[in-house]
Amino acid sequence: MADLVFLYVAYTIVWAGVFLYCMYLALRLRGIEREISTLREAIDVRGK
Amino acid sequence: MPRQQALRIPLLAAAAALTLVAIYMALLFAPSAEPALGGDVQRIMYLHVASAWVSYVAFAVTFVASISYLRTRDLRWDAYALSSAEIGVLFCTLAITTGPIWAKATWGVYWRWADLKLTMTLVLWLVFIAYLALRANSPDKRRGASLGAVFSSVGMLCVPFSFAANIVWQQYHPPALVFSEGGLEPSMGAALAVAVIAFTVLYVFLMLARVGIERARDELEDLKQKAGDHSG
Repeated sequence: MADLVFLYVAYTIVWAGVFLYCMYLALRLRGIEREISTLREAIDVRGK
Repeated sequence: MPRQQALRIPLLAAAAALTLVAIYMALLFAPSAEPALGGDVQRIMYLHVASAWVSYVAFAVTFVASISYLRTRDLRWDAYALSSAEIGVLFCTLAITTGPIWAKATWGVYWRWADLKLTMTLVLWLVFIAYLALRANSPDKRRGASLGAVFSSVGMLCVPFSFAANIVWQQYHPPALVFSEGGLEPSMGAALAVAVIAFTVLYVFLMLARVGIERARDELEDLKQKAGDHSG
C-alpha cells in the first residue's frame, strides 16, 4: 500500500506539472494577444 | 492561419490520445515488476524514462538552434532555442522528481551523490535553469541569445554523461535494460515505447505553442515601435 502512494504521487506530479505548464502558456499567449489587439486599435485610431 | 497554428489542435489531440494510451499501458497493460525490482512502484519508470528522454531531446534542440543562431544571426533560431530550453527544464524537473520518488521506494534513499548519472543530470538541470535566468534578465535580446548559446553548449556537454553514465559505469541507478542482454519484458518494452512516443509528441506540441509566444512577443515589440513612431 505504501508503494502505491509513491506511484500516485509520481503520476500526480508529472501530469499536474504538464497541465500547469500548458495553462501558463495559454495565459501568457492570451495576455500578449490582448496587448497586441489594444495597441492595434490605438494605432488605427491615431491613424484616423 | 499560419501552418504552425493550424498544426496545434491536431497535435494536441494526438498528444492527448497517446498520453491516455501510455497511462493505460503503464498502469494496467504492463505487468508488475518482481518485488526485488520494486513491484508496482516500478511503473514510475515509464514516466521517468520518457521525461528524461524528452529533456535530452529538448536540450539537444536548444544546442543546435543556438549554434544556428550564432551562424546566421536569425532570431527565429533563438526563438526555437529558448522555447526548447524552457520545455527541457520542465521535463528534466519531472525526471529528477520522479526518479528520487522511485529511489526512495526501492533503495530507501531519495538520492545518492556518488552516482554519476544522478549528479550529472542535476548539473544539466542547473545549467539550463541558469540559461533561463540569463535570458529573462538580458536587456538586449541579441546579446542574451549569444550568451545563451554559450550556456547551451556547456549544458550539452552534460547530456552524454547523464545519458550514458549508467551504461558505461553501472553504479546505483538501474541499468538501461533496453540496452541490456535479455532487455525488458515485451509488454513492458511496448509500454515504455508508447510513453516515449507520447511525450515526444507532447514536446512537439509544446514547442509550437511556446514558439508561438515568442512570435507574438516580436509582433508586440514591432507594434510598440510603430506606435512610438506615430506619436513621435
